Amino acid sequence: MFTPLPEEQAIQVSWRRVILTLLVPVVALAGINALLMRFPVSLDFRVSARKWALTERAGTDLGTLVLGDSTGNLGVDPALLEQAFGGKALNLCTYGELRAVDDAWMLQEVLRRGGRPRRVLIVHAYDTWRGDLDPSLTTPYPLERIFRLHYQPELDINLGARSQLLFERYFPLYGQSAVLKQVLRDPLWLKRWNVDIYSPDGFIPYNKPARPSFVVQDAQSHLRRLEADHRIISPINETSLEVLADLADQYGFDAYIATGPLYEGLARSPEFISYHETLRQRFEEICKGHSRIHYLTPEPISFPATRMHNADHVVAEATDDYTRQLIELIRNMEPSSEKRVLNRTQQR
Amino acid sequence: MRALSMLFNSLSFLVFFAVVLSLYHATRRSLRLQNGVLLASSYAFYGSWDWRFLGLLAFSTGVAFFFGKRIASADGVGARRVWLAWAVGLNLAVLATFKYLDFFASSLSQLFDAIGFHIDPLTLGIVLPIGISFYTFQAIGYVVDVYYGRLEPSRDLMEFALFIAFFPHLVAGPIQRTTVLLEQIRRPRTISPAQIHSAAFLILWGYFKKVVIADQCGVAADRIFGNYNEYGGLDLVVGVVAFAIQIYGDFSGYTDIARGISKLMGFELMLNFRLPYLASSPREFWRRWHISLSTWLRDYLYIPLGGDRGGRIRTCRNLFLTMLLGGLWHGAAWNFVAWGAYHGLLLVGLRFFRGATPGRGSERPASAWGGTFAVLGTLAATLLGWMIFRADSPQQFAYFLLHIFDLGTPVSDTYRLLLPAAVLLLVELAQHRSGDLNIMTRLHPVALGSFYLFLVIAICIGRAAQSPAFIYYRF
Repeated sequence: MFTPLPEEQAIQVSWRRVILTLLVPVVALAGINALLMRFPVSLDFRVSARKWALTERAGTDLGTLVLGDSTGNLGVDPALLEQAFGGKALNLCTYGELRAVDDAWMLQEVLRRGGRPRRVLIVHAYDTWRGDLDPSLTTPYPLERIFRLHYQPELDINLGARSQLLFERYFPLYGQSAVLKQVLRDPLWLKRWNVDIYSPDGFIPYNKPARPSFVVQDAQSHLRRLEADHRIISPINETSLEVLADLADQYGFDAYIATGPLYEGLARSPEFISYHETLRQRFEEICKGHSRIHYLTPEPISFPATRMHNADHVVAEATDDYTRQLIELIRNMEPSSEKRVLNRTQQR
Repeated sequence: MRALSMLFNSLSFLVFFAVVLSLYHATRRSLRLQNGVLLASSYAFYGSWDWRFLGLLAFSTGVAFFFGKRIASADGVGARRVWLAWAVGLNLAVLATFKYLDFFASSLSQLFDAIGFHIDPLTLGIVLPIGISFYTFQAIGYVVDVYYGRLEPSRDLMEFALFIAFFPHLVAGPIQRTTVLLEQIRRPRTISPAQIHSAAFLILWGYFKKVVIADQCGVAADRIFGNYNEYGGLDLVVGVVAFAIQIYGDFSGYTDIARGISKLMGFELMLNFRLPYLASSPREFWRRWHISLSTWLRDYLYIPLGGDRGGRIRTCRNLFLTMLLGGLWHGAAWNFVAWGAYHGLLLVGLRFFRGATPGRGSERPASAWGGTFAVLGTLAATLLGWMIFRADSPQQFAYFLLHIFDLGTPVSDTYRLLLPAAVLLLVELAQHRSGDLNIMTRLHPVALGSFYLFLVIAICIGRAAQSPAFIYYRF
């Protein structure tokens, strides 16, 4: 039997029908995107969006601004900083993959909005400093503003990559697709990551119990990575530190660099001690060249595994302790930092 | 050397096309200016892959244009034949040099090694220019059509250059006939609501087939073919089926996007696929798969070789040679030649035992069961061909053949990656039952709009982390 092959048979269509057909997905997509912009499913997006929104609260009575990664996000309680130093304290820490670029951009945004912190505390895990920045991770940020205002350091990417970032930023159905895929596979996954990120000062304590055995295992992973990667501070982080130093000089605040909390087993291991010594020397070289940048933790602040979530993040119960230790270090340093600035001024 | 990724499934291409479309519509009052915009855009598109190959495109265009006029104005068959030989020869020389030189040189060296003589092959490490197989065939088709008097030679170099370089089909077809595309270039184009309606379906459906179905199936195929000796039985079947879906989704997806974006500019490109995996015989498969290539091979190779005019033996020879060269066209590797030879043998076998078919339709048996068995049998034969096409080595192919029926071996969860293909199956069954490839566009606007919403969401969420280039870009 011989039958004709399938064909594209002609169809009569009016413009009205074409428009109506296309309007359905366009309107629905606009709604979905608006919803995802307002309520992102990606925790990274939510944390970054929340922290960026908090820059509006910088105001004029900003005493201490905390920048950095998740070690600072979970570990530094701004309320204690307010009690210790007066003025308002804000924790705008995000996550380590954004490196110190994040700190520089956040600070420029705070300053642009009129905030004038008296001190800036920069808290990063020791290994955040050696990593490079993956530009695709910047999509949670208001990139059109960052690009338009030329926040430093500028991303070293071409126009095509820039357009891709903007597209992922403003079309979150595409930009957050990895998380959406995860949610579709396992809807409960979202509930497990339902963290309260809406505190007025930006602090996001980790309210779950410590995991001592996991902390010990995680420390081993850190040591393996240390063995494989001996980099100290990556070029993008060095550039960001220069930007932070210039802003500190220009606006007259002191910036304190601190290593995030560490599991004591890791902090005491010979491999880590050797690595951290090199890191310390590099930071001290950088600080020598800038009167307002100070390295706060030549000896990392460490905790037992029973107070840690993993090898470099504390649980909520330990944040007071970590924050108070940082406060003490800043207090010890502040008079001498003022003297140092005074001496340099006199020398000129 | 590539400055910008111009894959259809890249953001840069979407931006590029948005700009081109705007300029195209802004210049609609002047056909010449509009064609100029398209030509410049096409060269910019091709140059974005590698600017060094613009010269080849221009050379191929220039050769066909110049010799086309010479052929038409020549006195006598002899002179016309000489100009034709130059035009075809130069285009084939370019194709042979850039696509096959290193392959034949190293194959010859291996042959000499096998009989005890060692020679150093002269391989130049030549980079394969993207789309060269498509536009050289298009140029050859043009000069042959002029030679046979099927059309007048083009007198307008810009129009002709656009016919060769028209960017939607430049790098992976469909190979266009001069009589169809050049006529559209010469006339003002209007865009009807039906074209927009059809374009929307083709573009979204094409992206879905590529990004969601083909790329996922590609992960499955790569996993199994890449570690084949860890798998047996059903997993090997999954691997072959995955590749069959991948190559179809990838290539037909690309074609749909090319046709869809052409429709947005008022152009109609030829249909390239008609539900090939529902073919009832290998012969019918080639009426449904890569139609632009199979008809080109029929008209410019099979028929000039003599077609079916010289008796059964000669016909079989012509069929076999055509399929062999068709396989070689796909790439400079012996598995492509073997795949072409395999399909040649299938067609020759059919010809021998069943004779010629009177027309170009489906050869489906009258009974439902007969029809089903014919489709399944053809599919099995096609899958065996894809095994040859995809195999990285003869050892791998042998392993597949020997172990594919080991049904007792445990099955991995790789088959899950093929699940999105269920959507493809449902849509194609609807198209098959209605005999209408436009059946989805007849849905109520809200239903069709919702289907489009589903496709966009699936494309956004279902894409792989890094969507690879289209398979046929390599040919």
